[in-house]
Amino acid sequence: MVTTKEKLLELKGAGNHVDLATFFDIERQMYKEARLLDNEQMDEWVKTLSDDLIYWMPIRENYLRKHRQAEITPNRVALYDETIEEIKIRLIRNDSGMCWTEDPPTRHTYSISNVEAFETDIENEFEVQSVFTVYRSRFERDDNTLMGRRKDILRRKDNGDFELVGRLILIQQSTLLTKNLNIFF
Amino acid sequence: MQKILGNLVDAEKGIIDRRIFCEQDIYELELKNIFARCWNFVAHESQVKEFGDFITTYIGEDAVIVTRAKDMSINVMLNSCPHRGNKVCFAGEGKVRSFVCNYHGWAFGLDGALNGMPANELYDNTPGFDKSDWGLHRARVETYKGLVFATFDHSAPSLETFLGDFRWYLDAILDNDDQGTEFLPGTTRSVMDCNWKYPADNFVGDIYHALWTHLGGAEATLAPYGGVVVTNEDSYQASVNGHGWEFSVANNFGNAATMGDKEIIKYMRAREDEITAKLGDVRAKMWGSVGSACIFPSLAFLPGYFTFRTFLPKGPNQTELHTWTLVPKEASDEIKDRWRKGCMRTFSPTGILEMDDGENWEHATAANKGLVTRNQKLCYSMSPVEQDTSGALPGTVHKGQLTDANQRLFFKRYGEFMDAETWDDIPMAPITR
Repeated sequence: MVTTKEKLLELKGAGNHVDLATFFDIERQMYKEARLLDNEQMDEWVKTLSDDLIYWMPIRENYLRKHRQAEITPNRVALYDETIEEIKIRLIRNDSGMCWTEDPPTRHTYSISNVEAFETDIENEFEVQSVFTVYRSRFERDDNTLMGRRKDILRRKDNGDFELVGRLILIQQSTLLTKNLNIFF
Repeated sequence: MQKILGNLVDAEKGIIDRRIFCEQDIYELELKNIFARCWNFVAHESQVKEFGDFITTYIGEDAVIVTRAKDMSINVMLNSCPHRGNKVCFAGEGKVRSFVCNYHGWAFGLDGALNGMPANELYDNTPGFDKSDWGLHRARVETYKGLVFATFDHSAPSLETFLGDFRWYLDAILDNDDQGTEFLPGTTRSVMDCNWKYPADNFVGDIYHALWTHLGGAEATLAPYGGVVVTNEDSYQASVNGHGWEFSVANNFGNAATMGDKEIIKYMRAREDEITAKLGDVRAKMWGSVGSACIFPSLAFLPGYFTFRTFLPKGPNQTELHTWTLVPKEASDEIKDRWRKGCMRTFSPTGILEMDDGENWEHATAANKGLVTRNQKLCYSMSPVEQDTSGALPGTVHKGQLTDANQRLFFKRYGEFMDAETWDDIPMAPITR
């Protein structure tokens, strides 16, 4: 089934919890991914993404509770709204050797918690929800912490490896209290 | 305070004192003499399309609400209750019939009028109490082809006078077809620890930085086409009343191409003849070529990408960016979506170009903490090839887009506003178009 942003919005933890062994494998995959991002092993990270990936980080807005429309809709401007090809375009900047602002490099630590994994209608695809905290330190004193929730669709391939099929990233700041998001989540 | 022009800003030689980028008393004067005085961009009409639609934003550091009232007028007023001062609207956008203050329940209409309050009979003993005296403080509002501007200064000249002949240039993106433009839904907000003038002067005339700052970012999309190409051949800087646009008229879609989406280029090419017929060759090229612009003091945009952005001051060392993507209304939903993604990919907090800029402006600002450093001058001395006096293009026009000409005129304008006691002291370019 093709992943869409609408489908990601429907991820609400409604399915049955996966069995313990599957959960263990999924959690291990989450931590591995965090380590790859920590270490800027972007080539390895891209290998964990599926060819039909939808990677979406909407902007947040302050609406009154009585507001009729949904806060997050696919047609609004976003922070990330990527296919795997579009993610690869972004990575060219980092690899160009001319990305002055990443030299010296940013140091980051990804902490992943609150992992839950649910079965979906598709046998080898799982809904995985988690919470991330990303700490960034740059140069002498640049300091920034970002926190939010991820809603993923993770697919188990025939060889047993996982690949990320869909990711909805919900950051909580409506005004980003940082100049940029020079990282993936 | 000493005069800015002649002391801190030498607009002729292009020597700028760093203290205008960091000193608190200069910043306070900017709030008074620039932001509380100028026509400030607050919204695109498409953001408040229907009766009851509103957005909230800032003019200087003053929180304002922009509404569409029942008579379809656009209203701009302070987002602060005249009773005790609390904010009356905490949403970024939405649709309402009134704004009710959380503190005592005072209720205001979409035009800012005080409509009522709980137990209003408590004011029966107050001699002369009149609700009409206590509405939300209103700004003057005028629009130019979809862009909504407001000022709190009732002595300001009209928006038409303020923009002057810059309107002729603006038409290249605002009025190149029958339907006009709209903002895609959603405002992207972020904070940079930089003085607001660094991004403003960058957009008004600094394409020079693209030749170095953006090499890495541009590699991602332009590498197959030979990377970043900017020259002084067939390019200009134009300035009117401090508003400026640097642009190429070479036959290309240089800015648009940097988004890396061939379908957008196809769409733009298909419309080239029609726009040339309507606006002429120069403005048809300006629609998507390498260029950048800033309307004084702090509304910037980029042709081609169509990112629109305001640099809202938050003290001398911090700026809040509010950014949007402008699209032609007549474009298909598919093309609009491509612009949504292309603009995000390049000019947003994750954008492969914007990320490079923020670093530069933050560290240019941080350096001024040093006492000796902030008493140094900055070099805006790159003189233009020559002035274009042919009269073909309105305003003060220089040949070649790689020059500090527009930035010098921006800071000249800055000095004129800062030094002026009243609007009468501020010169206005003649309107010729």
